[in-house]
Amino acid sequence: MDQILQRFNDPAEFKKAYYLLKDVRWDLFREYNKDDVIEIFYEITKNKIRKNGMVNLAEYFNKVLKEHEDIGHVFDQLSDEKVPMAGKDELTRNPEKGDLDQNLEKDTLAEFIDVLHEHRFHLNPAETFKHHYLVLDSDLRDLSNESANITSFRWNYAATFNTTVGFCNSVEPITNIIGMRLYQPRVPYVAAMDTDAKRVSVLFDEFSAQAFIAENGRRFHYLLRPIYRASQTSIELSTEDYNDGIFNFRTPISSFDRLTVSFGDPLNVITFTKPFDRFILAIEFVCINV
Amino acid sequence: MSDYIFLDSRYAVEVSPSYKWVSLSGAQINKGADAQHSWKASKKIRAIRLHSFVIRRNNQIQASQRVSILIEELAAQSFIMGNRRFHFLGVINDLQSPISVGARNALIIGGNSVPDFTIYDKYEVLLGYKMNEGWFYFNQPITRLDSITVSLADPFTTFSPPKYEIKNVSVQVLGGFAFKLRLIFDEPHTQEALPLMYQVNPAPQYSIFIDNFTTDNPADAEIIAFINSYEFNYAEIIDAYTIDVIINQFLQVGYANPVLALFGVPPSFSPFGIVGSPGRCSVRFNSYRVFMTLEVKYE
Repeated sequence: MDQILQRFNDPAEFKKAYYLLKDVRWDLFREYNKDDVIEIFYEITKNKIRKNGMVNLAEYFNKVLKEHEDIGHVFDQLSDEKVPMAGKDELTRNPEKGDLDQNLEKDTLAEFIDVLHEHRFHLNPAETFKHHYLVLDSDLRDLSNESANITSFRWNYAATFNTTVGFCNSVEPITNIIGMRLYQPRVPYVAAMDTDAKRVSVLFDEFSAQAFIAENGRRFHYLLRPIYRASQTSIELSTEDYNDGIFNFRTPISSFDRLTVSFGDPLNVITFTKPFDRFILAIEFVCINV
Repeated sequence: MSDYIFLDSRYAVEVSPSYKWVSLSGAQINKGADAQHSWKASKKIRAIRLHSFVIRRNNQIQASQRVSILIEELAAQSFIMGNRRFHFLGVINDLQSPISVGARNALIIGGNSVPDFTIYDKYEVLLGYKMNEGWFYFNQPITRLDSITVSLADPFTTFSPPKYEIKNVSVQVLGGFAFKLRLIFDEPHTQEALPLMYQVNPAPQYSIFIDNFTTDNPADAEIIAFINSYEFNYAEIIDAYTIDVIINQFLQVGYANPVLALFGVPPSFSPFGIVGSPGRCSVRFNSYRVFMTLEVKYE
C-alpha cells in the first residue's frame, strides 16, 4: 500500500487514499505483474479522490487481485452489480469517507470496469490472447513449384476465402503471432532423420527472421527427437524433448500469406522423394489482440 | 471457472457414426448415472480440454498413428483440413505394444495362458504435452451447448466406434459338451470379424455382460441371477448376428480341476440348468465402452 500512498503528496488526498485502500488484500498481489497492477490501482484511486467519488474501492480491487487470472469472470460479476447500483435512489453517507456525490457514485463502477478493460493486458496478458488453429495437410500442399527432390513443403494461406488445394485455412485471419505450438508431427521417414545426432530441425521459412541459427546458416524453430520403428514408412518427431512444441516470437509476426516447411538432419536440409506417406502438421498460434 | 464432464459411451444417446451425449438439467441430473452428463449449457465457454482416453483398435488409424477428434456442435471454430474439421489431435499408444507381452499381456485361466482382454486391441489416444495438452480455445465464446457429439477420424476420414450395448437380443439354450446361451442379434453385433473369446488357442479378446436375462420358470431364479451378474469371457462368434456364450462346461481331458469352478458357476447348478424358456436380453461388450473426460472453461 505504501507504494501507492507515498505518491499522494497532499495530506488530504493521502488521508482519503488511506481510507479507500486500507481494506485491500495486499497479500494477494502476485510478483510477476505487481508494478502494473499498482500503477492501475494508483490511477483509479487518484481519479476517484480528485472527482470526490468516494467509494470503497477495496472491494473491487480485491476481486481483481483474487481472480485476475480469470478477469473475464470479474467483469461479469461487476457488470451484474452495476445495474442495481444505478437504480438506487439513495446512497448511505459515511462521513468518515468524505462527501458522497450520487452521480459520481453511480458512475464509479462503470468507470472502474472501463479502466480494468483498458489495462486488461497488464492484469492478465493471457486473457487477451487469441488462439488460432491451422493444419498443414501434405495432400493439400502447393505443388506448383515442387521438383522431384523435395526440400520444402509449401502451403499458401488464405483464412477462409480460398479453400482449394494448395491452400491452408483457418476460421479467422491469423495476425500478430507471438507464439506457436506444434503438435507432435509424424512425417515421412527419410534415413537422414534418424542419424547419430538424433535430432531433426524444423523451419517455418516465413518466420525465419526469428529462429535458431546454426553454424552453417541453417535456421530452425524446433529441434525434435526422431522416434523410428524399423520397417515403418513414417517417423515420429517427438516434441517432448523440445519445449513441448512451443516457440515464442520476441516481435509479433503481423501476418503471412504462405507457409514453407523444411526439415534438417539437423544442420543440412533433408530431401524427400515421392511417393511418401500423407502427413499433417497441426499448429496452434497464440496472437495478441490489437 | 471450469466444469469437468465425464462422457461414458454407455449413456450416449447415439454411438454410430458419432458419440452423442445430451445435457441434462434440473431433476434429470439427479438420476443416478446420468448425472455424469450435466454441464452448464448456457454459460460462455472459452476453452475446452479433452483428456487422454482409450478406444478400441481401428485399422484406419494404424498407419497415421493419429486420431482427430471433433465436437460437432463447436465445428464453427476448429482446425480446417479439407472436408474434415477437428478440435483435438491425439497420438495413439498401442496398449499391447509398449509393454512386455510375456509379463503383462497374459492371464492364467484354466491352465491356458491367454491374452489379457483388458488391453487387447486397445489404443490409448494421448492428448498430453505432445498435443497441446488437449486444449482448444475459442476466440468467440460459445454461449450454448446442449449436446456433445464426438466424431473420430484417422485423422482424415471418420470411423464409427463399435456399439457398447445391444438390446432386445433373443436367446436360445444349447446343450452338449458345453452349456451355452446362443445370443441372436437383430443387428450386426460387432464390426470385427475375429472369432470372439475362448478357444484353447487363441484366446479371449474381450468380455461381455448379459443384462435382463430371464425365463418363464421361477425355478431358474438362481441361474438367472448368475447370468445377469457374471462377466463372460468364454464365447464364440458364430456369425455377424450370433454369439454363443459358454455358461458351463464339463471337465476337459487333461485338466485336473472342474471347469465349473473356472466359470464361476455355483456347483449346485445342473450343467443344463435352465428349465424355462428364455426371453430377450441386453448384451454389453465390455471392451467397447469408452470413457472420455472433458474440461470446459467458462469466461
